[in-house]
Amino acid sequence: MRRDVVCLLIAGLFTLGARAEMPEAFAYAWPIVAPPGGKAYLVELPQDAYAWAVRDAGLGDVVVVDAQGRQVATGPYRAADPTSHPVTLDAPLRAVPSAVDGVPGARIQRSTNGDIVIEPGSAPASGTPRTWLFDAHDEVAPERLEFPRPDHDVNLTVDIDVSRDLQDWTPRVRGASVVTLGKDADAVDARVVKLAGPAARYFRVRVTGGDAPWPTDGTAAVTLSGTVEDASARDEPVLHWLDVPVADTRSSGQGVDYDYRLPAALPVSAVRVTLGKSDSVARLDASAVEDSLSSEALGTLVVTPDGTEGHRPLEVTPRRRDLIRLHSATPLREPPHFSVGWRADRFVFLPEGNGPWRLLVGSVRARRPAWPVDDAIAALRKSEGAAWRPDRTTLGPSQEQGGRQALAAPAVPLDWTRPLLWIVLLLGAAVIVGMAASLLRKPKPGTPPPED
Amino acid sequence: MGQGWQILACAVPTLLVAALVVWRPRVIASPLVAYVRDLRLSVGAFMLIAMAAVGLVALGAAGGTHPLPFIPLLNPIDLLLVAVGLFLARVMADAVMPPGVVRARPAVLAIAFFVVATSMTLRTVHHLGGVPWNGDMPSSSLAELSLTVVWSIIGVVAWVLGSRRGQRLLWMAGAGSMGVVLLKLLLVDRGHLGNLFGIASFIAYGLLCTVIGYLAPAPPKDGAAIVPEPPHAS
Repeated sequence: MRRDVVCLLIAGLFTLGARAEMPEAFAYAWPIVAPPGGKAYLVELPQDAYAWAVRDAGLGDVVVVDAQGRQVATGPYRAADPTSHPVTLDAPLRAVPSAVDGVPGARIQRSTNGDIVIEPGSAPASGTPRTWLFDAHDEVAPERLEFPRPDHDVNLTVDIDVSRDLQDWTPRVRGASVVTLGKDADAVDARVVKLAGPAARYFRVRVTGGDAPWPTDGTAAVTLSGTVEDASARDEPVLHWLDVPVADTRSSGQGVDYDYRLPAALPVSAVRVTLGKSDSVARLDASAVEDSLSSEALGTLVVTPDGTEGHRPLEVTPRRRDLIRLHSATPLREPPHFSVGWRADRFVFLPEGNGPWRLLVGSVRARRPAWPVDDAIAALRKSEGAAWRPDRTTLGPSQEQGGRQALAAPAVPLDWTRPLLWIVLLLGAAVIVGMAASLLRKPKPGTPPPED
Repeated sequence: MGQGWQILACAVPTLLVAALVVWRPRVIASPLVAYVRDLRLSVGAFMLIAMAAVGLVALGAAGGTHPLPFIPLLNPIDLLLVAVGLFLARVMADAVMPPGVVRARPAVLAIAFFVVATSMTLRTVHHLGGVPWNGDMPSSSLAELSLTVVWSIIGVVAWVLGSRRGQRLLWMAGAGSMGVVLLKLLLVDRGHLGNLFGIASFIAYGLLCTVIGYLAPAPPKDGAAIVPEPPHAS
């Protein structure tokens, strides 16, 4: 009897020891303070969470657990569809000088406030421009585009592309006709092109047939009709600004590189630069450094003495970035002051189990299951009305769980299969060789069987 | 685990019993040691059938070696085929075999060797050359070319050894193998190689046969041992 008890105690100690050795799956936790009675709750990731969220996991290691430590249905929050209103605006047509064979053409860029900047190529423009740009100054879902009335008959064929950043263009219309013939009662005046598709700010008109009759001084304007999202009803997180000190300065080519390392890989959506007191003007190329070999160009910031340009942020595609480099072709007396704007990722969870709930972040192996949260939120919006929003929550002070240990890759157990199979194979080969040798040593056929 | 390992694992008991029958029959017969000869004969006959079945399965198996890389000859299926061949060679030389079986031994072993070498070649082409292991294999140029090369090597080696050792049967086997290669070049490989390479392969074949015929002339018909002497060059 006593022996049984001792055995049980020893087994219990081993079990406890094994439990104590189990590492926590997540690195850090934040208690969630949620108003009672909510049908769903919205959590914004704090800045510290990005320092612990595994970058390759795509925020899949962000979960919400109840008081018993069980995960509750959680998922990224999809903002409610924004409301929109119709808009009609006139936008001047900007001619892009035609390129000459063998000579670099015009360079098209965005200024810090998003305006189109066309820098002519190194050769003088020749011929009638074939490409024209216009800026809607807001993201417009286009429905109708009316070209200016020319002072003579024209018959054009045009392609229309749209873009949000002047770099990636999406074809929207191919081979549309713009025809104006005569001025009498039987005149033909077909200058309207129907458009459809997602909203975009920049529009490119490429004349593929005929010569464009519009003046190149920007006096001709198109009339764009469409819809614009209501900014006041946008369901989006607050833009946080974070000043980042310079981490490294080094000469690069004919200029200087300034590296700014963020405290965590934040979802940067804008950058802003101001110069020190000793410098007055600079042109800075911003890029996000991904590794030693690759980087992502973010855009160009032009900072002028009055400071107005530099204070206007350069908007970039939201993506997690932790190292941003500013390159100045001209030396500066002191590193520029650099800020990044970022919007926190938002998660929504359904109040399952018992509170208080906790937000857990950072794990090399644990991942959030694919809960059908979007469907749940859509159902709630349907039942509660389009204006319904999940209840906002606040987070308490962070609590360390597994810490760095939760982010460390688990030790891969030694796979004995391969060495074992090699041993089997080599032993088999040795046996075969032995058999063959034995056979070759045998006397001629007809010898008596072994007696053993 | 690759298919080769699975087949090997299934064949291990058969291999063990077959090895005991040949080399340690008393272990099989124990405790009826007095009947060891009869037991060896009956179990041996059964094992011969079982080993033939194992060999047939192995011949038609692609023999994946995952997680180890495929190495020609040093892989489960090829080793299994060699073991079956050795078992066959040992059994056919056994004293209890009738004289007719013993006489047929060289021919049977030669055919078995030829078949096993062909299977090994195709398996190597499958694993190292990426040719699918299915009925479309004959349409693969790589497989056909590999078979031609291997059969040529077998024929040349048999031809030279038969000549040097005065073994007319071996020499005839080599000549037969080269004849098969010639037929294959004519009927199969021409389609894969095209006109230019086809003609070049015939010229190469002719040159090879001329050189081999010069180095390894036919041994005398009576099969009497001849004193090895240097080829015509001496």
